[in-house]
Amino acid sequence: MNEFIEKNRRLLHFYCETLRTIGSVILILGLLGGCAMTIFKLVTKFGYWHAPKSYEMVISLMPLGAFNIIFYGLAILGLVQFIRYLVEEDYKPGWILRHGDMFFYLYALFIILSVVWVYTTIPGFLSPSSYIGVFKILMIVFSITVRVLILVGFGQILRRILPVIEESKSLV
Amino acid sequence: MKEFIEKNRRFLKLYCIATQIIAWVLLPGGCVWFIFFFSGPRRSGIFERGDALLYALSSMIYDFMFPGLIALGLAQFIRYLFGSEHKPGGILRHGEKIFYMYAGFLIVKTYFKCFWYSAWYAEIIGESTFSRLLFMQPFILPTVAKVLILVGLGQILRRILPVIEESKTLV
Repeated sequence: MNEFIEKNRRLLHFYCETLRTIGSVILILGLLGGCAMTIFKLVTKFGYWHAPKSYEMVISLMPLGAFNIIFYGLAILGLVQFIRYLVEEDYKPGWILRHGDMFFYLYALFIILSVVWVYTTIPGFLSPSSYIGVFKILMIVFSITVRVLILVGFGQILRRILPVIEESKSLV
Repeated sequence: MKEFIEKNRRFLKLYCIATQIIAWVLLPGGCVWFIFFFSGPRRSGIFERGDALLYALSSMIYDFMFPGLIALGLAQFIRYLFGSEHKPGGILRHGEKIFYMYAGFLIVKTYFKCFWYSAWYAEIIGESTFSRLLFMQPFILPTVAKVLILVGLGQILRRILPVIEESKTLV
């Protein structure tokens, strides 16, 4: 692997810098979007402006998208720190990487809460009136469960893999 | 780490089995869901609507197929990381390709979403379709983020397997 790193050092550096810039932009935009959505929701709630009735549902779900983007931004920044930690000799894991498992668990919790929010916001979205309806509900439950399991798994792996990389570096 | 594995062996085993079972339900289940989506009298002619087809295809891949494959790969990775005798399975060995393929699919999907939905978004706030460029941001931003994450994960997976292998041989 050392040979690969030596050959591609400039490319990896460029990739990490690009990723970090884009990750920071995404995180800032996500934070700005989250604040804007919250203000927008408060304004509509207190009656200064009303969205058309048919679009109320879409607007009520928009903050979820903004919070998703914040997590994406954090994930990209964590990824950059992980790649740098993996390929650079003297790099120490940053704050996001050190608390990466917590972010994964938080995101898993966010997924569960957002699913509950979505299905309580959209009335009659899932109606188990037929066997197809029951099947769809089951599939959605499985899909959410597997996502939560994936995130928990990522958290567990991240916690264990950092000492392995550290060990590998110290031996080299 | 050995101590952790010994302490949590049963939990890890249970986690891997549960993940694998749900993943194997999701993979064929996604295909059945796709068929059900287009079944029924109200759905006739839905294939003519490109956005509905894209929605169904993207749901099948994003909600069922991709999480299923990732979960199987993750179970293999955990077994490989924590077990001393385990070798990486097929999905883990080709995991990076799965990430890149999904990233490619996301780019194509975003292109079509911009094409179909930006006018609809503009209509929500009563703007003319001229302002549709504004609404490209909610499509493009998450896609750029997802693609970067997927490419990064692919790169990490490619580099991390030799590190684990090296760590095992040294132990």
